[in-house]
Amino acid sequence: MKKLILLCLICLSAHARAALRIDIEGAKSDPTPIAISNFTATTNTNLGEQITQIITQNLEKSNLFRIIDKEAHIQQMDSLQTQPHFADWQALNAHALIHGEISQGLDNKIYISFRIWDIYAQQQLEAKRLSAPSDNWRKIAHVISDIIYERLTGEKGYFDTKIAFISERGNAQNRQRRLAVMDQDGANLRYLTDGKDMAMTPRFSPNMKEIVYMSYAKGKPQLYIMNTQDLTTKALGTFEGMSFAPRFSPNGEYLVYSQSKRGNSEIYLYHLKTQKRTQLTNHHAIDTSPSFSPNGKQIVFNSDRSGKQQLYVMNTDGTNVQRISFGEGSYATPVWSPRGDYIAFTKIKDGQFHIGLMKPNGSGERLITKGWLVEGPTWAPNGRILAFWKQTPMDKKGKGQTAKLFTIDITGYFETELQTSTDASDPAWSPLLH
Amino acid sequence: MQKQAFLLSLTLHACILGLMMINFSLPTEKEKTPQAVMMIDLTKVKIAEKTNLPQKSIKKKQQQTKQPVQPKQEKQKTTQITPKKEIKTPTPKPKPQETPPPKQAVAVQPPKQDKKQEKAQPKPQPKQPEKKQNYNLKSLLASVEKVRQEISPSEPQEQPTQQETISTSLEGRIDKVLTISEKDFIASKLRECWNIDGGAQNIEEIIIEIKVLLNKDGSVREATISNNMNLPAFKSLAESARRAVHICAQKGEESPFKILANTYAEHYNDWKELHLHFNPMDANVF
Repeated sequence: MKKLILLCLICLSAHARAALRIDIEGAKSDPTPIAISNFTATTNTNLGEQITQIITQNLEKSNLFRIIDKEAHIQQMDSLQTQPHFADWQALNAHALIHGEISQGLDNKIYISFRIWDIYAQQQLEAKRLSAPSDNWRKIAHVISDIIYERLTGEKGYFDTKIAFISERGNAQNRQRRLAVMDQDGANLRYLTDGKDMAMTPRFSPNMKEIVYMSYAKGKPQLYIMNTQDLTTKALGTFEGMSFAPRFSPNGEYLVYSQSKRGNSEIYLYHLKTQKRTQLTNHHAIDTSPSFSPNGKQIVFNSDRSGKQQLYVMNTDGTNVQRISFGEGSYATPVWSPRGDYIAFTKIKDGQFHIGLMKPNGSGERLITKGWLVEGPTWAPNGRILAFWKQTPMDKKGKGQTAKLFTIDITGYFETELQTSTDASDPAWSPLLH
Repeated sequence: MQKQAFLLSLTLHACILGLMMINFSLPTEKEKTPQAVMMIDLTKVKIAEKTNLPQKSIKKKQQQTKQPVQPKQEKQKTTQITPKKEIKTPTPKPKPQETPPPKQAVAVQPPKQDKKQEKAQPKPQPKQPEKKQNYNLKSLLASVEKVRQEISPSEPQEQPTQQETISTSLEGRIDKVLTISEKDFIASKLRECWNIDGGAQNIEEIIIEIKVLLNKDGSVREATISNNMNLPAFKSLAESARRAVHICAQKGEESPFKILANTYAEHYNDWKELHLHFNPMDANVF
């Protein structure tokens, strides 16, 4: 009986009137126009403008948003309780509106509350309240930028981060290379070494407490670990030959690096607590530039075991080595995206350097920028933006050689210079700080 | 004993297979009588050379490039043999004219090349690149290695066509009355209103369903997201699709829903609820 009733219902539904269905395939991909109203401050009005400016610069720099000029705002959002006149903001084609207010506590802290509105759906998307020491207002602006970015794009932000790099000064014969750290927007620059000994390839630990880098302090390339708070430095160990290209594992317990002895380079795993070393590769070819996958189970590296420099993936115990690149040219400096969906690399082909992307299985290779010398990609923690460095050649008079940092989106667009006061190379992007 | 059990099992299996091969009809099911063939004399049917589109659409289509769309031609054939209104619908051949809106007809590659030249000089200021409108997200993935570009200069004109193929359900009377070009028009307008982040994670897997309730005058009473996917970028992409409906609806007489209110007012019950199926891009774009 039940089956008969079910059969009847199915027959009836087949004759029911279906809604009109329309398929829409494809879309535009322009920066989303949004409005950011000045955060109102009960005591320090400058602070409201400064924080609003940081947020505006961050979101605009991501190239995913177009910030509508404040001069065009029809409605003034004077308070957090002000309800938007949606028609006024729709007239400006603002897809979202952000406004907030700042108050100062007696505990020398600032308290910031803000809202995000969907103008066309006419509803609130987010409302949050944050606090921070009043002298740390830049950080809180970056945190708010990350929250807005994540809510509107669905992806984690990258604004509350730092970039370690090598600051370079001097001519080619007398080049000074110092380890430096700055906020991702170039603020709060600190030099961590004095430049007496050449430093290269800095890398943050996942908890940001340490930086590992290579230095020529002892006359040959060796690895050092520096405490980022008190800047105390110690050598990783005394290894035969040269050691270089270090990277932390995602859990921060291991380092993977290359060691070169008698002309042969192999990859080693180093346990930071026990100081136990494990050799992962054992091949007469040059194996170097290892990088962990974000789940910590695999390592990508480059090797010339096939005759040319290509990319390979192996398990973290050194087993199951698989070649993933097969293109023309030489592949180097692979680095796995924090999202796990791409491996970025440097490629040299036809006398030009390129930065490229491929899927971890080697498919979908794309070269997103090129130049006389571009190399050393590093991922922002959201796996959406890359930083790299670019060097221009010397002219006939021996001048003009510069090294600068750049960022680029994974779509291959929006290549932008990261302003530094000196020449810069070897960038390393930190994890999110909050 | 085991042999008997085996034979019994074999027999029962054979019976089931035999039953499966025989067509059953339920006792309550009426016997189907073969339908008489309906003869339609096409010699007396006048088919116009062009679809009877609004003026604006005609101008846009004149700027488009012509590309054959093989899969769609079959669908067109089935929908053309219908009431007299179909007299004005296009033959399969004009279909290529109906595809991409004019902005999409612009070659994808040259603007990218121009952008690359701009990027050669680093510009810290966050100004937008001059990007001509295109909906082919595959082409938005720039590559400096021109020889390896998957989309050659001749290809972009194929890709937009594939991406913008419009498929609609054949259920409901409104679908039989609405012309192909009118459905194209609605979908193309919605596409113009839809803005997304082309580099969103897993974008190639995301499909968004929006249910739209319309008033009799074609204005939007309600637009809701009616599906869900466990992907980080789904929520923001779905909200962008919902926003596209509202943005289009704000365009007054230019709204794609107005065509329903103005032309098919008597069929309001058939179009008062729309199911919009948003697909950011084709599969395997990356």
